[in-house]
Amino acid sequence: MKVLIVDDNTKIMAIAEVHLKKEGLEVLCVEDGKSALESARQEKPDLILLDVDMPDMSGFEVCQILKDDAELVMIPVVFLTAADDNKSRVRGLDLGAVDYVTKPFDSFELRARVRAALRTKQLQDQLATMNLELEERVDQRTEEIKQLLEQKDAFVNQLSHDLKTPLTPLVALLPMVAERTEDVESKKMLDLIMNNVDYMRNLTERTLQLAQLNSPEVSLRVEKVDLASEIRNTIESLSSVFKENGIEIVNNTTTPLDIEADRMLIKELIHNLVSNTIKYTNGDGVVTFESFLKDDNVEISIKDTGIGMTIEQQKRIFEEFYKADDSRTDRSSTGLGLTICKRIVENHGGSIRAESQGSGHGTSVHFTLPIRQSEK
Amino acid sequence: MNKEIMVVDDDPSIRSTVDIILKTSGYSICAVESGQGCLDRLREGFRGLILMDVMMPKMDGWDTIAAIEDEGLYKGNVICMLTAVHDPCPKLEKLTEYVMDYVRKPFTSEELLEVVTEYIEYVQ
Amino acid sequence: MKKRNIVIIGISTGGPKTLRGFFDGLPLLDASIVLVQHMIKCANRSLCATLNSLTEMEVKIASHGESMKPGVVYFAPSEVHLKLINNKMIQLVESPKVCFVRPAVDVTMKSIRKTAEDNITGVIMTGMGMDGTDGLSYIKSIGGVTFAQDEITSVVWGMPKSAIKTGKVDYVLPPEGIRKKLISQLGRLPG
Repeated sequence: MKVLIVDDNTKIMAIAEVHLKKEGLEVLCVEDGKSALESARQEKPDLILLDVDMPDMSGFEVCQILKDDAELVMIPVVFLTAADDNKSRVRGLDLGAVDYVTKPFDSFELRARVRAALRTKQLQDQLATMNLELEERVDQRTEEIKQLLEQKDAFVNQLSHDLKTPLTPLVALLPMVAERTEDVESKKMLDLIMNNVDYMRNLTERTLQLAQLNSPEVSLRVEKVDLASEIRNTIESLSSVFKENGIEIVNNTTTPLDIEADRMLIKELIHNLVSNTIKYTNGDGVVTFESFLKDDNVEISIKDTGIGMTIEQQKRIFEEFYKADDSRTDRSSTGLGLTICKRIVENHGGSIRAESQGSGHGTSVHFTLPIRQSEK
Repeated sequence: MNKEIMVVDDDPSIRSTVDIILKTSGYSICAVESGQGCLDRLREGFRGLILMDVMMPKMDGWDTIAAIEDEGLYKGNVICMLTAVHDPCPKLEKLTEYVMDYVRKPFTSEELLEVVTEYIEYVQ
Repeated sequence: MKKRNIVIIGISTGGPKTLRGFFDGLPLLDASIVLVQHMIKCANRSLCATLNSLTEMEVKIASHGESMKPGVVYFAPSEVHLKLINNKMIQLVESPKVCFVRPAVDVTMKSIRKTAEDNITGVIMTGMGMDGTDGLSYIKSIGGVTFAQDEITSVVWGMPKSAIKTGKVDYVLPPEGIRKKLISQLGRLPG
């Protein structure tokens, strides 16, 4: 290992050099601060033994410069100070030195302190190397996971796509078979089969849609969209369903709420959320729509008086294919609707959350969308 | 005149499905499994509505239409695509005059019949 | 003098089925409509006949040298481009394909001139490719009104999307919406 000794007193320097060479160390000697910095940059010593009292540039100044330099900061500095100068020792340590040796020095003490400082330096170096390796491994793993996720998306995409052809005879022919069937039991069985075929069809379409939303190549088709009128249109198109289910609508959104967004995706988002309020309200409920303008964002809240969610459900509700326990076997739900909503909102640079005071206490979904889309 | 329908698809179950639905509604139909088969039938003098798959081995739907155009075999015939691909590939852009409609799989029997009744009218 | 209304509609893949819905029960509008449908020639006649049976307007295949009258839909025949001379007289031209098609909507739309006595409307509906994009921009630039079909109702959302991207489209609507707007903007002919 390499030690740099900096002292304007050549006699002291010579003694120190002899002792450190005995330790088996390579020793470099310079007599002033300027040469010390040059040597530190070129030689990258493992330790600097630095005299405090030097003309032109003091040891403190040199230390300060070393500690401000990202490439040199890791080199430990041990100050050489006068025996009675307590203040200097404190200042040196404060400046980032690891230790000090008082002059005139005891050779054994000097060697012991240098050994100690070098041990620490060695450990530090090892730690730094290990850290670097660890970072590299994390990067590598992250890349692997990213690739796996991409492969997963591509696989799911391909699979859903490939399912469309074998689904065709089922979708097209089963109703024809059902129509020709007189037997009541057989009709029941066919109904069951057709329900499941519809579900499969729905799942494939939803999955493809999600894969598209996840794909970085598919960009938003941004135009001016009035959120309030999109909400109004959705409510209107579902008004008979609301009536059938005894659900009252309170629409408190202000109009217009113009934002820059992809109209098709916004329609999908609102339709999904509004359909959910119907699905999860068991008759005689109220669904309330509110809008808030916050700086450069619009927040929409859709609150229902439906079946609500447990804390566990609230945590997982936006996960892919997650279904609340009691709807696990529900063929009308794919477990992808809210995941798609989340993707849509996030692709617009917004956020979405769902809250509930617990099972039986209704659900509120709030989403925030920026008024403007930044140019990409 | 009894106008014929030709379904071009490499998947036998799609060919059978289309065959069953259209025969049930009284249409006469022939099924071929490749673009080459489609060209052969046209050369033999087929006149009618062609329901064409897009993704087929060797010669895909677009290549087949390009060959139909090259040989001038489109006269009097009407072509509709029948495909699992959601968005038509840019190759269609050059052939748009020869393609009347675009039906996506999986289709219902009603959707298929709607397209057939609409476009069989335009066969000369 | 009362203004003349001229409407140019461009449509491609999925067109015949879409047009059937669009023209079904369409009242006698105070406008001359030029309809450019990309299709093979042999189907022109039956599509025209079908559309003619659906609306109070007269739907006919446009012929060379003909002067446009209100209340009539002029169907651009296949294999030639259709240009308007002085926004009135139909000229059928055998020039090369534009945007891979003939007739091209772009050619017809760009043959329009800006005048004080004409109200121009451009409509782009379902279809692949980008024919009509330049034409619609042009119509907007001479003070016309522009429409494009929305994604959900388009069989292939190519031409409308391409036109919308230019930012020169006034209304993005389903065919039913375009129709309502045209009826209210153009008005009906008496009789």
